[in-house]
Amino acid sequence: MIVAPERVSTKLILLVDDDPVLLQALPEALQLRMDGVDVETCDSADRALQRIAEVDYEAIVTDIKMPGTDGLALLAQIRALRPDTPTLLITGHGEHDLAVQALRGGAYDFIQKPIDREYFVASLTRAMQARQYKRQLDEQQHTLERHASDLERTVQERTRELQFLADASRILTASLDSEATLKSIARLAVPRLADMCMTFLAESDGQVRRVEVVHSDPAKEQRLRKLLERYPFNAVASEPTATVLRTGQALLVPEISEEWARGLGPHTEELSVARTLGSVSLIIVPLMARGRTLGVIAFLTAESNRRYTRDDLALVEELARRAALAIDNARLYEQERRIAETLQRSLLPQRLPSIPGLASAARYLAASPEAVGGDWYDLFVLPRGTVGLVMGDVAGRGVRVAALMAELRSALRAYAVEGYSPAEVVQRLALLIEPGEMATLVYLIYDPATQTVRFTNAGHPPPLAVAPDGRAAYLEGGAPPLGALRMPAYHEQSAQLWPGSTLLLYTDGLIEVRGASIDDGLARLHRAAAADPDEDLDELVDRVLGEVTRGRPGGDDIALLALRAEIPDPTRFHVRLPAVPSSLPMLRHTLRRWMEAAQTNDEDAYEILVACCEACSNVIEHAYGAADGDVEVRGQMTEHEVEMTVRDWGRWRPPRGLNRGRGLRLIEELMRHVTVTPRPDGTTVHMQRTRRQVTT
Amino acid sequence: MIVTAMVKVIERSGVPVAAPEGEIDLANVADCRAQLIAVVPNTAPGLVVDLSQTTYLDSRGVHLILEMAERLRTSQQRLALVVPERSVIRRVLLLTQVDKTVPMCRTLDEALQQFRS
Repeated sequence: MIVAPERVSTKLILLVDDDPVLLQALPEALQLRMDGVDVETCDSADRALQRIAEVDYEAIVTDIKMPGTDGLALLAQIRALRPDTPTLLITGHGEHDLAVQALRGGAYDFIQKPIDREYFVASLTRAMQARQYKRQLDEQQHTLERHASDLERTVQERTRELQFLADASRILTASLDSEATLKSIARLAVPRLADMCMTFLAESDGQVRRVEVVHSDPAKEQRLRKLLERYPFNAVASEPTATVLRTGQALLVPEISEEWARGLGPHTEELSVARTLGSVSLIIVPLMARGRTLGVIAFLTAESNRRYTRDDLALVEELARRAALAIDNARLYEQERRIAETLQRSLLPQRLPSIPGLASAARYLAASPEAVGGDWYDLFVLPRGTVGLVMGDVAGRGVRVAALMAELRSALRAYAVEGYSPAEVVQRLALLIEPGEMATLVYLIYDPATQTVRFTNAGHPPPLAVAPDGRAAYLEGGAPPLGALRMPAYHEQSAQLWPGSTLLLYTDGLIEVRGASIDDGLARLHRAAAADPDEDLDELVDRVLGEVTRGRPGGDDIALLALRAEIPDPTRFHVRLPAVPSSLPMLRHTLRRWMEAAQTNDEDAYEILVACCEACSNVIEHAYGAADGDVEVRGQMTEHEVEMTVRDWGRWRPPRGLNRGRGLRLIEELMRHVTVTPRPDGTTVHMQRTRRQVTT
Repeated sequence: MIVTAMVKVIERSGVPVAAPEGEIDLANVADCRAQLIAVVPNTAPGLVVDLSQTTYLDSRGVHLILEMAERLRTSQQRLALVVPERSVIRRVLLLTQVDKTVPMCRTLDEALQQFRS
């Protein structure tokens, strides 16, 4: 068996001595005793130094005493030049001082003459071994350092990526606007992740738009946008972005090559534009949520010459995952918000019903456009001329809250019209509340004729009554909110208002101002409302809103409703109402109040009432057809005479139906002087008669 | 607002008595008419409409009463009205000569007498 000799590189030793005999003898002795060793010799320190500068010897052996530069001086220079090379010095017999100096000067060992060859070889072998170990140690040290710096770089890279994702997440959670979110993401990606970034968003109708185009160089961004303007996103093109949108598969192209681009197919204008701006590498990721592709983000590199890797793809996919989630959330939120808003807006009266003899005004201030609260108010006419007023507040926000509000509102109206008392109405509403739901409300029945209110309050802030002279009082009393107790008992309260009083109903948002107690709020409302109780109601509610909230409303929606019965002028009457049948009870109620104020006797009052209502019924039936229109009633009362006019702005058609003529005949019987004046712009019925002087 | 006419119905000596409460006008006359027609069985001798709780009535109400009278006449039945002496609506009924077609009684008993003869 032949054993291949191990390939061992020979180790080179330098021997420096001015003694030719020694230079001859020592190498031979070493060759004999050591394997793989070559010895070079030098007869002077100066020459030796030249060699040492050129060759990295395993070890150096030098005589200490030499003409010119001696061994100690040479040692010093070797230490400077080759600090790791072990150096042995040869000293004369008994030259202990020199030996000590040599060791202090950094020599590995000293060899005394006459040279003990065994010792010399042993020392030299140790020196070379030590040298070897040192070298290995250094190498390991280097490897470790290299490794450490690799690790460091990786850590830095990951930190940057995490930082990027963290920044992105901040943007994603900051906005509920999908488009704004995608724009910010594109801005964030350049230049940290890409030299160009384009974002695409699929709308709910399936249309896809480029939402943002960003380039690290503003001038090039302008150019990029201009070029892309000509090519709106084309979902059926071979464009890589369109492909990713269709397939939902991310695309990584580390190196955009001519062949790859050619292989795509027709209509890749967008990619061509990107390539004219020097793009070299790209990643396109889909924005996927709940199995649907909501859009696409394209990252491209150019100037940076960066080539995307799988690591970059992983980072970008993570970013896309988060962005898609945020957009999906934003859309769901937006959808819900829109439903809630539509629902709530549809529940608030578009405009308050115009009730003759009553002035009313309402305001609704939403705390934020994003979230829709559960405040609502209502105002409706009840049979027999009374008026129902409601102010309510369902706890929470969103669609569920708006839905409960809708339920309460319609149930309340239904029970109210059926003639239930306030306590009965509220008691029934309490049954509609599901566990976990809560609502406050106050329901009042206001009788303008007697200026009395009957009301039931379920945990709602108390209504405020303000007299024309500035006196004001809260209508206290009530029970817990709907939903607070399992078996609540609601009772009715009543109050006699001062003549001409203004009633103010509101939600807690008005009196709960940040940093102030509710009592402060109530006191402020009291002061503000009493300051000028006579002013026009619209001005009053605006002023009260401003003064009570001090222009800094809290976090809650505010609803405010004001109502005031006008004190009738006994000499004059005027109302204008929609020409619909439901205006008639309202008209009768107002006419009765006026005639009462004018001290008309019952018979007169009834006859005038019938005459006016007959005239109005004719307008309702004949003046406008299916179109909307108004009817106006004016009256003048003197001591002996009453004069009424009823007019419209329609075009009468010939009367039809069985009732024809009977109404007008009745009017003529009741009023003595009646003239009907038809004009192109409407008809006026003028009625006049004397008053009976004897009160029956 | 829709005002539903409240028509209370009782029966006296086999005669249905319908008493509309409140006001009868254009807004609720159709509703009122439907209720009145529904309370007269074919077997009844007729109908008493008690207007003592009616606080307002104009030509629409008059027309309704005349129409009811016509319908009942066709079916060989009769109609009588109760209108108290001091009722505010009395004058309208007199002015429109309803009393010429339909017996107008001051009390319910008087009205029921109409069906005994």
